[in-house]
Amino acid sequence: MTDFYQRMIDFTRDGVYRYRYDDGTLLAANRGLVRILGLSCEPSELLGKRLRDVMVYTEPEGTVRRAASATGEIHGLEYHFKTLSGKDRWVVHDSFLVHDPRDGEVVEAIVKDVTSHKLAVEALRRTSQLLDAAQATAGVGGWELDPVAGKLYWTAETYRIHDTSPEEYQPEVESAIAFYAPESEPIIRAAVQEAIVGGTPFDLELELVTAKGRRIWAHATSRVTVENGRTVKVTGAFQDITERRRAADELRRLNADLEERVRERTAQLEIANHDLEAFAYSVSHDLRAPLRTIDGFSQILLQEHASSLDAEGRRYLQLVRAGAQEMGQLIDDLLRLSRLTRQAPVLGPMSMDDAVGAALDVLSRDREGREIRLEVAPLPPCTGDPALLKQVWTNLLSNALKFTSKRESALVQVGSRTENDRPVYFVRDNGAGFDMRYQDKLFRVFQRLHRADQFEGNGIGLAIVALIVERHGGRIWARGETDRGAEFCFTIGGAS
Amino acid sequence: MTDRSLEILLVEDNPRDEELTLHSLRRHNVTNKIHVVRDGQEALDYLFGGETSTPRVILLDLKLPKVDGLDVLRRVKGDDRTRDIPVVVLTSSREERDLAEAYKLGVNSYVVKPVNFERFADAVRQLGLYWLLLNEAPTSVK
Repeated sequence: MTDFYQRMIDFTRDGVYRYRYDDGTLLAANRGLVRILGLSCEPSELLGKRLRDVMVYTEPEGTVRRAASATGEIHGLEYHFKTLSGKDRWVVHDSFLVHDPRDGEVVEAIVKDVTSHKLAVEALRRTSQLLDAAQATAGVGGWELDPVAGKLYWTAETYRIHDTSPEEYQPEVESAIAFYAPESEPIIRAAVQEAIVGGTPFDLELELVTAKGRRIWAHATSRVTVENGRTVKVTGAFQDITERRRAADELRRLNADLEERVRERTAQLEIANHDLEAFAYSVSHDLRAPLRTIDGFSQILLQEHASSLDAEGRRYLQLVRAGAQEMGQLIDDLLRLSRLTRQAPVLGPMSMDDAVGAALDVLSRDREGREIRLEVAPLPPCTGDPALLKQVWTNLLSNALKFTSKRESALVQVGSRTENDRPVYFVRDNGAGFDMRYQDKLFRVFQRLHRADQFEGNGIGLAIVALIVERHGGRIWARGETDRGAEFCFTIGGAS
Repeated sequence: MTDRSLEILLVEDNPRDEELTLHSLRRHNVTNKIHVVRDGQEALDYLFGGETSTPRVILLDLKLPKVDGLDVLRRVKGDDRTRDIPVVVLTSSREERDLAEAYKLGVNSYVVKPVNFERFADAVRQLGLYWLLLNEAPTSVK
């Protein structure tokens, strides 16, 4: 029997040993102890050594001693130490104190190495802590339902979302469903039932009332584990989406607001546009009628009552007529400008050559009786509104004719060149030109660079040109020098 | 042809434009009887009042008190009794929508009254001569 105990002591991986109580001197030790201490000597080599020489205490040496009861027995004391090479060891210690006639007070002990178990538990605890921390950060809780055992498990975040804790509440299916708001409760109940019976997962946004009475929106999703046609586990995520729902509602409200405001603003603009049209209509009608009266009766006076007027009187009447006609032209130009701002051009492929030809026809009267060298090169076609581009050429050519009117031999050139793969159309003349310092004023309404007694005009022509070019997505610019002529260039956005 | 059939109906609310028009017509030897009404309602009364005669041509201003010119045109061209009377719109308006509407309603000619009196007189003269002298029968006018 003694042999049996000896074999068992040699065989076991636990440490079996005895030592002197007062100084820890080892009196007996087995192979298990050698292993636990992380050593590779024979057990007999430990004898006579003190415990503090073969291990590193991380807890006060007296822990084991203090743990002893009045009878001197210790059961299941767990403690930690390091081996001489620095490895962690957790052990569970059983011992009792005996009085040996030869050695005095002696402790006889068995220690079990629980290091690997301890590390596993620690790792699990850390994982669980990390999971809780991650869930808290993400605001996503987890839950698990075991329908067979009828057990429901919540993670810390799920508790937090419900405003409760494991101390206050032990989750189970019925009471967990009871958290849901009355209108959501039947939905989640049916979904859980369907998950258990039919193995169907769910993904729901529902309202619930927390333990503290807060009404929140929750996003609950589930995954179902089915084994042998039977649902064995339903796991899921659980998220407080109140903020998101609120933000989404707010966004919807803002969008609706915005749409409403756009509608209102559009309506206002339509009214304003309509007012503007009515105004333009009225101007075109009412302003011209009195001018016709002025011009018409002046003309009748000149034709039929010339004898009652002297030469100066007749000249004054001519001035009256000129003024009335000038104002008529001004009204027409302003109305044209106003129409341009209100109406989008009707774009299509078109011939620039035709547009220039039509413009020259319009201007045939201005060319009558003048010595003008007109050089028109073939032009690339473009995508544009033919009526509007005819207007562009008419105004540019009309200017060229006007500002060359004091030249003995006027030269007007129409052509194009390619810049950045796009055609640039131009009208060039050898007329009065302009001072480049004022070029930014060229295309502005009512801005004139020449005095009325030198060249007549109302300062609208180039503004119309610029507006049309702009509405075609193009660009216009000019180069000139006083008395050395001018060149007006433009591009058309949709050039083909 | 009777006097009746050579009558011109001038629908014009502006008395000075009326005088210019009449002056211009006479000056260009259009001596037909010209009946003048001052607004759209008067024009309709004249045309559809019952006993009045059918004018040979209608010179119609567009912007009129009470019933505007386009409405008069709509009535004239929508009625079998008056459909064949040539209507010449004579207006200050250059508005394209008016022009489009007038043509849609079947106007026979559309003249924008220019500020320049000579061109105005020219336009009036051509109209008068064209409609009164060159067109033998109203039914031949499309």
